[in-house]
Amino acid sequence: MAVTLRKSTELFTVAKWLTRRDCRTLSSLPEKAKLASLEVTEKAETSRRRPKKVNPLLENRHAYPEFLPDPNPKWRNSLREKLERADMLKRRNQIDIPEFYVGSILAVTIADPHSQGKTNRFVGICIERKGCGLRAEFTLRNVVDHQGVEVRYDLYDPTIHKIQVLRVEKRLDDKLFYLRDALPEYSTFSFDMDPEILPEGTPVPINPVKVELKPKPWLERWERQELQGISNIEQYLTKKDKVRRELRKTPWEKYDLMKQYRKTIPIEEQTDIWSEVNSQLQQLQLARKKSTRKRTFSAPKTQLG
Amino acid sequence: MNQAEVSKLVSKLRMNIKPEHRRLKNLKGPEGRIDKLRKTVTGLIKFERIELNINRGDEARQYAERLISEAIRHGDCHKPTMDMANFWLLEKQLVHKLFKVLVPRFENSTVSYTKMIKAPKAQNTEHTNKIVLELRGNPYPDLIVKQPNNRLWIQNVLLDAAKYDYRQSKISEIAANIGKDTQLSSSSLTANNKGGTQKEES
Amino acid sequence: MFPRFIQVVQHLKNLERSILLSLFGHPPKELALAVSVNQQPKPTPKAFSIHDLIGDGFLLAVPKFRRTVEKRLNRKFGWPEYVWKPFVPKTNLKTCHECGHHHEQGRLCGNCYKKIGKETKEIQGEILKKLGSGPIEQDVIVLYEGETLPDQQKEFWKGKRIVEMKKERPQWFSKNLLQKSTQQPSKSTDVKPTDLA
Repeated sequence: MAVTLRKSTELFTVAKWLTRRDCRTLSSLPEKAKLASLEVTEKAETSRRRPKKVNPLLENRHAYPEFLPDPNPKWRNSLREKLERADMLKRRNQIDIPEFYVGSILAVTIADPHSQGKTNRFVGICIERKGCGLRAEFTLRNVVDHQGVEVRYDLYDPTIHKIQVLRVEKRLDDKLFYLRDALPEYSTFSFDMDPEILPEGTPVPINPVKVELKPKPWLERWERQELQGISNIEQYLTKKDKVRRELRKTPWEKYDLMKQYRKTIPIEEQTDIWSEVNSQLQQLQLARKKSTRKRTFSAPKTQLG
Repeated sequence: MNQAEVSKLVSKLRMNIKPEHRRLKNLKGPEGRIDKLRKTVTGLIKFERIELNINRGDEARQYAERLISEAIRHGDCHKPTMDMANFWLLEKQLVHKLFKVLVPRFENSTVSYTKMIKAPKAQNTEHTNKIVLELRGNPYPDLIVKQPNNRLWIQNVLLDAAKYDYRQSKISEIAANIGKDTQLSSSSLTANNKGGTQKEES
Repeated sequence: MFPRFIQVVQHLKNLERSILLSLFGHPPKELALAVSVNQQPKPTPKAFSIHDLIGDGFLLAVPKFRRTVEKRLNRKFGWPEYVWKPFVPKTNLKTCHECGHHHEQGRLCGNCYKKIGKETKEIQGEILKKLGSGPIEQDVIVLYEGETLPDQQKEFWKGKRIVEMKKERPQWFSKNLLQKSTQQPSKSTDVKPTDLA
């Protein structure tokens, strides 16, 4: 049953993806095909106008942000970073650490000596990813028995048995701490949730859901953080809140070039890092794809077993 | 322990950058600092050579280099870069200059786009530390004149040889005269003694 | 909270008294309480004595311990971590190769910089006058009186705006308009006597 359901969802997602793609090139009408080709040539021209091409290796930074070192020069050490990257790849050879983002729903199984079966499984939505190198961490949030629970895991923790991505998607914000002050239904995810597999090559979907907050008191001043994922923040703000928010705004910060620079790793350094690490990561990705294909084409479970 | 930002890509700056930004004392705080730097960057792009204090100059240099590197990476048609240039350059004619003049000038450069040269200090003061900030490729006379390695030029080789010959001839003269001087002095001494003794006798 | 309450009560009492006074005037003297008229003897003024002022003595700020000679010398001559009082000779002074004036190593020569700065300001003025307030889309080439662009590489000069200075080129400002020389270095080995200097 579970397999058939999965297949139908797969077909649905494939259909969705196909409709989103530009089907004009497939059209038999010559005008529509011509239009599509014209657009393609225009795009090529604008790209020619653009002086530099982006190295495709740099796309790895979204999926594996912990491979990039700490941007603060006080905590940089090239030797330690190299050794850490080697260790990270070794760990990834042992266990599959999948690609996920803040907003994805994960199931993590860790070794627990006190529980029956010696493992403990937790399912939750990833609200945060922090740290770099072997110290990379992520936090999962769920509501269990009407109690909000957050668990922070180390990505490269050797006691982790399995990290399974049940739903891979992004959200409108980088950090989802506002879920703590949101209605509990936005943080509840069933422990028996089935993994939703996207067809190969699809871009990671961005979930545009806007969360509803509970009435005040809140843990933080969400109104001052320019969050895109909250729908009903205005109804809980007093006049003073609104006035103070306007006073506290810092519109010059988005133009502060050096602040951006000090938070990022420049392209030249990134290309060095990714060229070092890319081949192994690609191999791991291929292995992962093979295993998913094997799973989808496995024999269907009988009604009895 | 911070995770590096992945949303934006930046080119590496070809100059030394301190880990912390300078606060640049002013009344309005961070907003005032950015305003001050905006004016400085506008002045640098406009005049291509300005003299100012080292703290504000170094900060403005970093921002100017970042602006030029963004303009080179993204070019004319990229909206966020246009917005950034519009913010940083207070005179709108300079936005055109940045994209039409400076980008082609520095597109294929492998060194920094600006130069910071320490200017002479005022007499008897330790505090004011002036620098000259300039864009490379400006039309003004160079501040730092390269010392030509002229020891091997033909005229200097000939002059050095001439000097050497002159010195050698003088040394040989002196050496020849040393013996003569001693002879002369000894002969004059004996003559004097004779004269002296004669006088004594008489 | 309590002081405020007491204040309010007092205000009310005063208000009541003033209202009664205005309405009924002072109460009759027969109802007033009897008060004794015994007066205390006036206190005689005491004669001033220094003991009133000093008494048991007062505390003055006074050194408790002798300052050691090390401390005294530190205060007199300073120390490196704090402030060094003796003069330190500057050993980083060099002579400028161009003009012979002295300057700090790593900094520009003052004399040369003054000269170049003056020229730069003039050129800047001319450039601003020439370019005006329209969009700047071309690079600038500065030409002095009696100078023309070299005929070669005309396409190169096409995209540049020419700013003419109304004076002769100063001796020390190189004729090379570009950073690299326009002429390739010659491959001939014979040198004419006039080209030596």
